[in-house]
Amino acid sequence: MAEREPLLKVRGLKQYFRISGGYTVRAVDGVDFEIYPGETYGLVGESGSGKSTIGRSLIRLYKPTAGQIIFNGMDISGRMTRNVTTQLRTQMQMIFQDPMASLNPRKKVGEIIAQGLDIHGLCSSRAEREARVAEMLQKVGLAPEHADRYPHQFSGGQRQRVGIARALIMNPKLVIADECISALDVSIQAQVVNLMKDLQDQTGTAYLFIAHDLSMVKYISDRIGVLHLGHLVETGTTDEIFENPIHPYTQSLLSAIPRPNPRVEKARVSQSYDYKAMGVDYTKGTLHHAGGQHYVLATEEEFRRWTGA
Amino acid sequence: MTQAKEKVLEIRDLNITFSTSAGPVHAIRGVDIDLYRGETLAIVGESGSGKSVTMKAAMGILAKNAKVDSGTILYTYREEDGTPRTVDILKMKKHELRHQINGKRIAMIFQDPMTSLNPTMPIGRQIMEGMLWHKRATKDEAWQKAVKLLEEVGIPEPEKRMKNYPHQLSGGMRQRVVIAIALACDPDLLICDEPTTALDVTIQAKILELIKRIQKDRGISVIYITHDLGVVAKVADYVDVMYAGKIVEKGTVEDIFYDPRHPYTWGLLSAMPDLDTADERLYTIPGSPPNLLREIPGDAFAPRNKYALKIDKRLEPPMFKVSDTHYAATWLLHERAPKVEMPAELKERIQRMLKGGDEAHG
Amino acid sequence: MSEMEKTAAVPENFLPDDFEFIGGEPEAAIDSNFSSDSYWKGVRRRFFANKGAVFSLVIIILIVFFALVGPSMSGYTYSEQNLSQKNLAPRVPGLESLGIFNGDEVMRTTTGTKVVNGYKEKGLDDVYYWFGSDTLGRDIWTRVWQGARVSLGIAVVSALINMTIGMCYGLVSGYFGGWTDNIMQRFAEINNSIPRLVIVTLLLLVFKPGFTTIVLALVITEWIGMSRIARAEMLKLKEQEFVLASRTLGASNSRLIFREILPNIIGQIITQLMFSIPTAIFTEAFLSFVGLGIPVPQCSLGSLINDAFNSFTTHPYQIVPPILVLALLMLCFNMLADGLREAFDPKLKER
Repeated sequence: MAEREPLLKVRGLKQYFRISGGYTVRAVDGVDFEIYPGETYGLVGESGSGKSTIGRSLIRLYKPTAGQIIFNGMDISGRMTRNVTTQLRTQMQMIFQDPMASLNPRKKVGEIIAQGLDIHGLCSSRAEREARVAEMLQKVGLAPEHADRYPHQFSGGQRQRVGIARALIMNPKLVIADECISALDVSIQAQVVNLMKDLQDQTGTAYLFIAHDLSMVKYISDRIGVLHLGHLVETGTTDEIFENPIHPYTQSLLSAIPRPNPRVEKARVSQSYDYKAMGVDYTKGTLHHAGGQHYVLATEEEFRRWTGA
Repeated sequence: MTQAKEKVLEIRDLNITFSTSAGPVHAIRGVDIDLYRGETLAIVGESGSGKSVTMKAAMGILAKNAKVDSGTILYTYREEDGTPRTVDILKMKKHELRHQINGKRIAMIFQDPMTSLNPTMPIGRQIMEGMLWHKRATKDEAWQKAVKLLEEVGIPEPEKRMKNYPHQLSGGMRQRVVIAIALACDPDLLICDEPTTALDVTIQAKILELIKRIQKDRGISVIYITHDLGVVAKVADYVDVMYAGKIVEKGTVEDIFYDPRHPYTWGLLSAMPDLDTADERLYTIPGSPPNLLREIPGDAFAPRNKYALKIDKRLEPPMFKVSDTHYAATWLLHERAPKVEMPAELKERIQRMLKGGDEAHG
Repeated sequence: MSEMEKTAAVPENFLPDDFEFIGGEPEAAIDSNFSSDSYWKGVRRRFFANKGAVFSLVIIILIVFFALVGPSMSGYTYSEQNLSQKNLAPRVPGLESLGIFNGDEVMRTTTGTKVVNGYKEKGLDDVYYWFGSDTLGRDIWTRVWQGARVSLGIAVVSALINMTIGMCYGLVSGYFGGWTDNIMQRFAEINNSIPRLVIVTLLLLVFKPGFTTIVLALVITEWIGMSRIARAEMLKLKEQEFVLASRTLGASNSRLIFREILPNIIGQIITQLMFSIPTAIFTEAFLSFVGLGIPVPQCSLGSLINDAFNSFTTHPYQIVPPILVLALLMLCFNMLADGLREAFDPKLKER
């Protein structure tokens, strides 16, 4: 499996934001991972972990402070040529979190979905454009008539479908889903996630699924990466992470997941993890291989302690 | 079932209509709720179900364009000398509500701790504010009590924190401060409107455990408004499931999770991915909640209900009794209805849960 | 738990097929829930519900109508002088039989008041000046409407130019941020701190006084208001997710500014435009009043007020029409703009 060429390779990605003279926020502080074609990589973390920042750095809404990003064989971390920029803007797409804010209120839904096509001139005629929009609307479970409506005439779940349509009409190789279901009701979340899975089966696109809800991440992802304070502390296949979490942060995250089982849940006390108290320093750790595709960020000593004992 | 427990809150036949530019929206369509002292009730529903509006009516903080068409909200509390007194909140005047009820006897916690706190006031003052206004405690007494409250909610070094501003605290700490403010005047009913939705999952558990502990220590009743079934499983004694402005199922938490009877409850339980799910597809409830602009004949859930009966289009189902504690409003419970079992995956999941044991990972 | 009166009123009038499944797939995805007004319909509805704004709009339309048509109604031109017919009071055929507007004037003299009728004294039975005549024998009616035409023209042209320049300046400055924004704003501040009178005087030294010069003066001094509004709105919208989405799709900067963001702020722009018109009218009137405006024999509302100012105590009727028209225009444009602002951005949101 690891013989495949990764679609996206990230090495040492750093994203710092200078707030004022002396104060710099280190949102992402040295992150390595890969995404293979057609798979779903779940990026999990709490607020302040840097997960959204990673998504935005990858799609070059920010300019990475350091590190290398290779996408589809092209280096997109530094200055990009026109050709590379076009490739990036067509092959990598993003779905945003807030269904209210991610659609332009003054534009019709058809225009919003076709925006990528218009910008890059991918349709030769109006008829073709309309046909493609109609086809996409149906794929995401809406009706072709909806192309003439405005976003405020739709519910949150439907707006998210429009966002998905806007991204997928470009036939991208990678879609970054930035907490795209967090703002939806639970039953609507299930609808949207099912839709994303179906579309992935049809088109073979890869997803970077950024979320904080571990149960949903487990359901949709092939591989998972756990982020804390800008560092990737553990990564592996879904089974590896859930069956054998090594890093104490991962363990505390898993133990905090609420289960819809009253008898169990009432008695359970979650495990806590205090970064400072544990004396772990992420900058000193390196990625240790723990079998298969499972890697943990730790020093030698910590790794021995966590896997041995 | 039990000896006469003291009823704290009784809502009967509540009907609320909002006047909007598009027309009147009949948002709450006949809601009955009961709450006894020391119990925790969870009101579960998705956005638009009306759960928040119902509780805002109980606090008297409905929006200006909301009109209560009918119903009573009877709240029972004890005076200083111990005699119980019952008032109808809907009939009270605004300033009476502010003086007697809000903050003093019924307190509410909202979802977003950042916007619940005044960014320009130190948190110590915010906790003391209510006390000074309601109880007329002296400033010193209020200060001491505020420090004790901060300790009770688990904030380390409370004296130092009294001078902090909200933006200097993390999200979890802010929510703890919000809880401290709510407890400042020793209310006996606490209403929590999605208190953990805006928080990280590791903090969520801590906040819920905190509220549980406070409840036990003080003997207060708590109402949770939430859409998160994990929260419900953790904290609730009783659960009311709301859909489109009505309660469609009510029961103890075990009734609802292990023996749900309403197809909407089946849908909610099935749509949650759980760590043990090996399914390829998540079960979903198709469609979205109805537009309450139009009066819906019959059962509001019927268009999305795989198990809908023809009568669901005509008549709204009344509450059918399943057991002394468990009621559901679905025609499927009528003796003439076909016997319908919950979906197989859900049944299997419940079996697994009952066999239970906490295998934390798949 | 609850003492529910359980299945109390279960109706017994069941139909035979009541308890059969409806069957088929439940009506899934397409729901007609959320069709409400389109944005512009909502704006129109709110605007027309505002009585004050609608009334102001009607008055403005009336004034504009007369400004266009008025001068040709009376038979006089705005510049023809007839010194023998100077300082005649207003006289309107039809109304004079009612006792008003019949050419009478109340004159105050040192010995008391007396009523004088210039028409009768000079035997001008067939001569009518609807608003009277001024000190040079020119018809005030014609001049007022001609002046209104000029004032409105200057105001609207300068407001439109201001809107274009200010809008683009503010949008660009806000969009690019950083050093670009810094420099552009500093430049704007410097421009703003030079007093208007100084600029106008300098312009008059270089150019001949006239329509274009006044417009230029107004543009140079007033464009900043619009640019501030545009910049503020841009800063609000710049980081919104729909803008980010367009960026990830590869939209160019100009597309983002003018086709994504601008449609969202057009409401505020139009409101500001409406507010800037009365400002321009008044500024022009002020300049004309101090003599820096429209040259003779052209007239604007301000120059008319200036002319009539000298005979204010002796022939007060001469100053009333231009003042009235000016005041009405200012008031109505302000109310119109206020109504538009409320219509575009209603303060009471229902949900």
